[in-house]
Amino acid sequence: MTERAVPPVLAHPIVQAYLRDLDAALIGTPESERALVREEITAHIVADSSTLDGLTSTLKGGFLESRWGGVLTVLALAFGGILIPLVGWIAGVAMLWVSSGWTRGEKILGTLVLPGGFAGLLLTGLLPVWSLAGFETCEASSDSTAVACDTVNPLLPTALDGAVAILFLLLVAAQTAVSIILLMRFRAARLSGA
Amino acid sequence: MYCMDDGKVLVNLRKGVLEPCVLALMRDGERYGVDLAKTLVTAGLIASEGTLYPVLARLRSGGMVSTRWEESPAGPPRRYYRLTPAGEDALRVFARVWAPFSTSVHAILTGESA
Repeated sequence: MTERAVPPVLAHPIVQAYLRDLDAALIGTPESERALVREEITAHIVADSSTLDGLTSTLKGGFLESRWGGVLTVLALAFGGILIPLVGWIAGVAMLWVSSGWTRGEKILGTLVLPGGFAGLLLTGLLPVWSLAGFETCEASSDSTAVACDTVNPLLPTALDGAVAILFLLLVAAQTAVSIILLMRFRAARLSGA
Repeated sequence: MYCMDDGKVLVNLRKGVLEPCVLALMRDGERYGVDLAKTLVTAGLIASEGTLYPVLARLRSGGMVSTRWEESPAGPPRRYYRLTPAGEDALRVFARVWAPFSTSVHAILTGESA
């Protein structure tokens, strides 16, 4: 086959970005299949000028459905509340529900696990410590003539602290797992073209 | 709770019939990939034209189709696809199974079955 000049359409930034995404999506497929898909889609773009219009509308009109839109949504859900308390997480929830790139189940999962993301987790994790720090417990004697008071030291380990710590770690693991699951499912959905 | 909608139904149904339909489109002779893609999009069997090429790649790897290049005066060389004897066999088997299967599904959906 003779050497040919690269058609101008293939140098278009949108086409370049699309082909980079395609190469990433094809990692792991057999070499012969990967080569055919790459060649055919490149030839298709060159042969059909309307393809570029389609790519343009897809990439411009659907940022939230793009790879970076999905990553931004998951990051906002997990860490948005830390950057901008409450508002950051709400923005993540809004992006999650507005985007057509997520299923209803994924939207519900991302919203419920966990409200506020890591920021909400930090807040609820610290509450028991704060409450214990302000407690002074008093006990009256049996004849009610003496009252004994004792201040709880939050620095000393107690059974409650241990339970709270375990619960806190479980919630951290849940938030992390849900973030990873959402990213993997979003990537899988994009690759399948569903 | 599993929620069924038109999109999910279509995705599931396409999975089972796309490859045989691609084979069937080559039954009367070799086809250009872009033409195949447009036909399948129009028929609602694929959501976007690019979806076809991984299917064609699998069919070629599986020996169901063969390809050849042809120079094009209006652009890059075109790859044409045609059925192999194995592809013709696979298409025949699918058509044989599909006819009674689709009849049964239709009968059940419309309440015509006993």
